Amino acid sequence: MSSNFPSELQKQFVKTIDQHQGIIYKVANAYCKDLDDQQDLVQEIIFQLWRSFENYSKEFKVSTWMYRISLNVAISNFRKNQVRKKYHEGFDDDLVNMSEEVNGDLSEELSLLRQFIQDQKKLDKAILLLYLEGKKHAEIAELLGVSTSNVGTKLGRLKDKIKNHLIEKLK
Amino acid sequence: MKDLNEIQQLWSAHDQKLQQQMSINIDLLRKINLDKIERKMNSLVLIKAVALGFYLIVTILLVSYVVIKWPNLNLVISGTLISTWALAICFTSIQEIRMALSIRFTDPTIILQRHLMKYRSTIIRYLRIGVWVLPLHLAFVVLFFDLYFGIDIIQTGNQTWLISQFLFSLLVMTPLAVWLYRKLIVANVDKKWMYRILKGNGSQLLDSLQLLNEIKDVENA
Repeated sequence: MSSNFPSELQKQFVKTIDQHQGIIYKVANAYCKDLDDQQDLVQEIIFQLWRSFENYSKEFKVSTWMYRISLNVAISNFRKNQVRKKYHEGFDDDLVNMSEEVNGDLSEELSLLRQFIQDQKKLDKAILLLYLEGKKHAEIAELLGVSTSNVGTKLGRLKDKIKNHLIEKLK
Repeated sequence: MKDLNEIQQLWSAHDQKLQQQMSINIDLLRKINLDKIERKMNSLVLIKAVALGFYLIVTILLVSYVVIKWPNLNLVISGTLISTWALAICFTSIQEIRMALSIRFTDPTIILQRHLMKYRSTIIRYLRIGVWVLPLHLAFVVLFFDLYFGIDIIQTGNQTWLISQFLFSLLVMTPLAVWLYRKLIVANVDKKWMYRILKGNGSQLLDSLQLLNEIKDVENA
């Protein structure tokens, strides 16, 4: 593959990432508060997506496939620092550009919603993210590997929690 | 904030904000040799395979030692005990490689997390095997004297010292090994002493343990 670099596969991969990069950002932002950690997580997600890209099955929507891998990487607490450093040498630091966020850029509501998501447990966070993306219960269940009824119950509780949290804070 | 639809709409607006905050350099991603980076990462499994090769060589040498030393029972029993111990390390190492190869980020989250937990807890399995060095210490002494000085220490050594060592192994080291073996379990990862023993691996194991509890929580919802 490397003799004909970049390979056709890599070109397709880059195109896919370009079209769906928002998924990676949302997952990274939900699972890491620190900007450096977010940058590392984005790199790790790109790497794991690349490793799986060759075997990507068209039975899944690209967005579903990307969500599954991105969430799995984020939930798994990705790699130990030393391992991460080892292969990040291969990635250029400029691969992911981060800018310090100006608080004024976010509305109070959005800021609260983001904070709420970041404060949830790892699995709850995944359920919430997928729900906010408009995924159906059955799809969330398949992505995570739990039953649809479990997703429904859990989501019901999370919805109540999020509503109460936002209403109370915005009073 | 009135209803959940509004929250979903609010979330959609988040996309634009995030893309202002972070962006992947697509041109650079085209230029990076991703295959090369992948090969570099795969070398981690290769390192584990090399370690397994080393354990296998040691085990084969120990088994050969047992065959060569037959019928000297003192040396054969010592050699057999250490060979069995080395074989247990080989099996754990094979399991570790199999588990590493079975980790797929395309699996459903819960399946992946269970695989990861098993993989990360390999360190505990190594420690559990390691504790058996304690009661086996006399076998190591016997092997050492034979290999370096050509002496069968059981036959030529001070019998009082040998009996005291044997009793020490049987009455102190064996119960200690059994106790440690029982204590070195995943459920104890959150204990301070265990965390210290595991060094850098403790936090990842603890994380996995907490996540498995979360999974149970969702499954029981």
